[in-house]
Amino acid sequence: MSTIKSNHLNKTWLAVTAASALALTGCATDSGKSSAEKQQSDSGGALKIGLLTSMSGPAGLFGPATRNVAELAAQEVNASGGVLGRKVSVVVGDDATNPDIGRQTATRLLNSDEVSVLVGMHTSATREAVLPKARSAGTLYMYTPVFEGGTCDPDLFTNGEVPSQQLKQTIPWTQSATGRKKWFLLGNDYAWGRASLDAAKQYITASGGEVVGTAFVPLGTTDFQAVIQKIQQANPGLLLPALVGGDAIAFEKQAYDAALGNSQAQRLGILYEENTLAGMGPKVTEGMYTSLGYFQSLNTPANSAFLTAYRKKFGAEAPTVTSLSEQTYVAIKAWAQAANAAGSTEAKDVAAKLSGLSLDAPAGKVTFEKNRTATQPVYVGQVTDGAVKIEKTFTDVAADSKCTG
Amino acid sequence: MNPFVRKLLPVPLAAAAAVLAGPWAGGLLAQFLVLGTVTAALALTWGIAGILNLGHSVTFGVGAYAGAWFGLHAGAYGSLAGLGAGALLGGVMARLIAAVGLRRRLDAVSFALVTFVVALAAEQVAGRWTGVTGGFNGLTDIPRFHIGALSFTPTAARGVTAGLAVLVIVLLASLARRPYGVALAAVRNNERRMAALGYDVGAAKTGVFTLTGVVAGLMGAVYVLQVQFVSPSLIGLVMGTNFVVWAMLGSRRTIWGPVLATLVVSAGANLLADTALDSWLLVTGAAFVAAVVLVPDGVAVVVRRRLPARWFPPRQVKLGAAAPSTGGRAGGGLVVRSIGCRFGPFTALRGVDLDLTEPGVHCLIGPNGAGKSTLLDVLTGFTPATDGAWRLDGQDVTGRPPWELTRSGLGRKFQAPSVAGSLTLAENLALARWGRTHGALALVRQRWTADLPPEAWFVLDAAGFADRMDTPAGSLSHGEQQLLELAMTLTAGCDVLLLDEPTAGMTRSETEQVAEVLRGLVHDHGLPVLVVEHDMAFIRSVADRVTVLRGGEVMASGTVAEIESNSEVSAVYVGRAAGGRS
Amino acid sequence: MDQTIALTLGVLSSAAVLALTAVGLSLSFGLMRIINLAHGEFLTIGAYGSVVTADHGLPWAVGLAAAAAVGLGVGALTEVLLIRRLYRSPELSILATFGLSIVVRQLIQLGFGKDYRMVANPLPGATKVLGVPFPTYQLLLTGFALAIVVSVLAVLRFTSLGLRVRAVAGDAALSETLGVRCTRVNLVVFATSAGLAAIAGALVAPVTNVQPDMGLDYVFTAFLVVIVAGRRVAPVLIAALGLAAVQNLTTFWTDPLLARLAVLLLAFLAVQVRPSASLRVAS
Repeated sequence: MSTIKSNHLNKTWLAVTAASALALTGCATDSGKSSAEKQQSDSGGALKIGLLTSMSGPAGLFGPATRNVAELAAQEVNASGGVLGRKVSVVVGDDATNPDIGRQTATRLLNSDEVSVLVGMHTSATREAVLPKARSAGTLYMYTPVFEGGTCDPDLFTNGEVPSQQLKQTIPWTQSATGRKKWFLLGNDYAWGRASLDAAKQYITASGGEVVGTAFVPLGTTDFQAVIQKIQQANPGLLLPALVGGDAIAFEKQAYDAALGNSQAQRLGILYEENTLAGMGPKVTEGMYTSLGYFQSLNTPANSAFLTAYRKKFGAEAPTVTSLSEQTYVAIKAWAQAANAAGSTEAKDVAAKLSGLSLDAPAGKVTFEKNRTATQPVYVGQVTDGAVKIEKTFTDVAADSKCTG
Repeated sequence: MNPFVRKLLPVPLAAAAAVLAGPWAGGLLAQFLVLGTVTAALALTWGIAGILNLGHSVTFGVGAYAGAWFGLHAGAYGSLAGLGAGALLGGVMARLIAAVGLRRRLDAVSFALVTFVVALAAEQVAGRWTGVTGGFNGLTDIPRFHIGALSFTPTAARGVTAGLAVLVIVLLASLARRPYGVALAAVRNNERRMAALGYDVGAAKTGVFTLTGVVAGLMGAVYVLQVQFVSPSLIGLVMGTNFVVWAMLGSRRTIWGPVLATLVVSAGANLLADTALDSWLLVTGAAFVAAVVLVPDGVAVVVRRRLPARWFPPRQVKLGAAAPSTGGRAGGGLVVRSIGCRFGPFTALRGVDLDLTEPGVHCLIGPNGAGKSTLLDVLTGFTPATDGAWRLDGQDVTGRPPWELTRSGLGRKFQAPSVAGSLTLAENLALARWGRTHGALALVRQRWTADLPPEAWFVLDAAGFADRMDTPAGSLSHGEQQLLELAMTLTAGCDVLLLDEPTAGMTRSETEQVAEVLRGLVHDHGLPVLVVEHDMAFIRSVADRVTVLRGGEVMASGTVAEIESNSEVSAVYVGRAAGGRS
Repeated sequence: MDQTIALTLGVLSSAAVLALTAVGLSLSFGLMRIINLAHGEFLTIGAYGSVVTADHGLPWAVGLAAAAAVGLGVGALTEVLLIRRLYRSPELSILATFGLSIVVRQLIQLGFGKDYRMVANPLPGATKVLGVPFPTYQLLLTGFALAIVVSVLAVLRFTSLGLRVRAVAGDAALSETLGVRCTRVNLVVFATSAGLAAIAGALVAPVTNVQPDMGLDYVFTAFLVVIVAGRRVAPVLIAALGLAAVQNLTTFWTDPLLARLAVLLLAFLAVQVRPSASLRVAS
């Protein structure tokens, strides 16, 4: 510094020095707030539930129903006294089915909206991107959709169906129901598709079945001609498609035309929910099995009440509730109960009360376990005239988890 | 105010802003500034150098993955290794893409499609190569910047990230303002002319493409150290399109415009998208369309036009006098032997001999389609010869590329004047000088000075340009532009001068001025000059020798008088054109 | 033997879909130098055209005609309002059509919702070709693709309209001086290009998922075809056939993922071996 001539020590240098000094002092302190501080700072207002979901992009179809059920859950929580004596409200964030945007949006929900809990219904890639942010904000993160499982993090609860729940009992059941044992596994090439088919392979071998072929297709595939021919060459009696949305529809329509319909190879879908089935049309879907934790057609009092309330609030034309959105409703209800029991929204307090908490969800009895997954019923539906008819119910199906709690 | 300090002032300001704005807003600012840097790098390749790159995300993403991988696996010095690897791999990736497209001289749109395919493929590979990239779910929990045991706090990290990003932007902006940036812009405007001025156009484009790859790769690693997460969405086409959109909205011809556009659009998406979920995309889409139609140059350029002109003072270029070339003209001139050129079944030239060994004006005439311009194109390396050889100053230069021929001493002026209208006369001349004498690095370091050879000064004095050096070349008349272009060709330093219709579109008095200048160049500066012309009056006034080309072959050669008395020639050509223009 | 026939038919019908989706793109790119990123959305418009007619119980052929008409109209409108202003810069057209694609997607979403829509297959069942059963509708698609590409080529080559189109594509300024009205020719070309995209959308609707984003999945492969085919329309068929063969056979014998990479590699190589443009730039 001493070499600088005095005439250079003008206003500019002062500005630079001042700015640098500010930068350095800022480094010393981080102005992040803990959840406890948040609570104190704005007590009186409503508690915010951050809902991160896909309102646009490839998974955008599932966002509106998810937002609706979240609002329904919040309304019901408020009707029964709210959380910690305060009302709750839902703040929605869109990840545009893109993890980078998801992380930015989650950061906004966590740091700017200062939500008390983050509920996520989006891809696993977004979850991986968001998790460190939720952790550093000390906010509980509840991830709700069907996914590949295998997570273990103190701040993350997952209540979506994982392959072990959807397949472990379902595969042997399907084999005995059809009397067939030769499977072809077809999946979209990403984490969920791969993990699901890995698990399937294991359960098939364990139950005396045989995998005669496996193929993964990129997301966004439109032309399945060659894949269909490949499957036909393997000549399986059973087909397990781990395909998502549009890809599933394109595949099933083309397979049906090419004489690889459900009558040739019995399907056991693991993400064939109501929207996807409707896109295939009743002729194509006739007879397919589909395994999930919730179907709209469940004939239980809890489900009827849930659907009645949903249609009353959003109208008869409202987006279809599927397993993907119903799980979000369950997560919010469970969080509200646990937070009230804990008397706090601090992540670790709520997590402690959430472990072991059971509730009567639209799908049936759901229990949040110490390993931060949910034990829940799993249904095998068969599509008849475009509607899902429940063929088999497995209750209290626990998720395999590396997490011991 | 010290200009150096003034230029660097944004760096600590950005760092301070990122720190003071708190973890959320400050973190976003740092992150968006990094993206802005990458957009600015795209502005340099695309807006300045004219190479549209839809796969800019590939170099960015490769850097991001490198930063992530080394951060996770390389231990104590992982961050540093990640930054280094990011820059290196970004550069290597860009160099490879350039090798595919630019070296093969694909046109801009075809090259853009190549980058489109590369971005598609990169996303596939990133999603598949699970062992390295974490596959579809990407890599998370990447440690913050650290060296050994010393690790940044989140606050320090975002301050340093923001400061570093702005530093890189400042450097890019400075690069664009230097002769390097101006030369790139000139390449974008007219590749052919820049090649004729001695610039290795292909190398220049590859160079800037690689450089921006290095910047994008480095900033990819910086981005990952800031956001601690990477997934295939960073490397794919969506990200690539984002960079293009931001650059376009901000004004791709500037550096700061794209940066601001990146900040504004990203912040808008973050703050507003969720409050208006259903209409946000519709409104932004419509805004993009409107922006393209209404402000195609981008917002920054429009804003800048409304700012006082004194904020943007014109560059002062110092032009000096270079010593006359020491070798003189004793090199031996241009000797052309049996040149042939075929395009498929069509023969454009066959067995053409030509000698330009003595000072003098040699005119090349012939009917349209005789092969006059093709001959010039062949000799200057723009069209490959299929036969024959030519020597310049005793050296075999057959088949060399245009810039090498120019550097060897072959000067060529095109028919249509192609001076850069937005640059001043002095800047045009400086550009013309540096092509022969400066490599890319010299262009980066060079101040705005250039020493012009005496023959260039001779033309400039004759045209009376001496006191108009700081006016834009676009304000010159057509004839004046021709003279400026001639001066530029001479500035590049030539031993033999080739002129394609130097008087086309000129008034009678301008034509006489050109004739005067040519005679001066021949007599006072000893240049051999080849002139393609139609104007017989002009030819009579300047030509020492005339060669007649017909159907790609030399039909006759001799003095003006000999040619005019050649009955065969007058039958096909001169008879028709005698006394006036054809 | 049967397998060879089945694979060949599979390649042909895959190529047919590729060619159908790419031929319109090739028109606007090859003849007008417009990189139309909204091409996929024009395809989506066509698919929704057939959804709407099917919902009203109208026959499938009416849906096809309606799609074509809507496509032509939207294409013409786009040309007049947007593309016409951007001829001087192909780069600007990229951004404009990118913005347009977002707008169209969102408008479709507002109008029809995000739900998957169903279009029933008008020709279910299989037909035997050389003793091998093959989906009748896929055979129809193949025929359509061939017919459309051939008629586009025929119009370009044998009609006065085609002559004018080729003239404008070759040298717009010169054609203008010869009395060709470039604006009108470009309008026709772009509208046709959009119309062909919409027809492709209506044709693939029965074998795919119809939703607002569907165009994105098709436009990528269509671009690959155009990249391989280059600037002319005729090679579109060959390019589609080549890409389909590589994709289907790699999928069949190895893996769909390798197939995707093989297709990208093919596109890459095609750009490499095609005669490169020389340094010559219009000066």
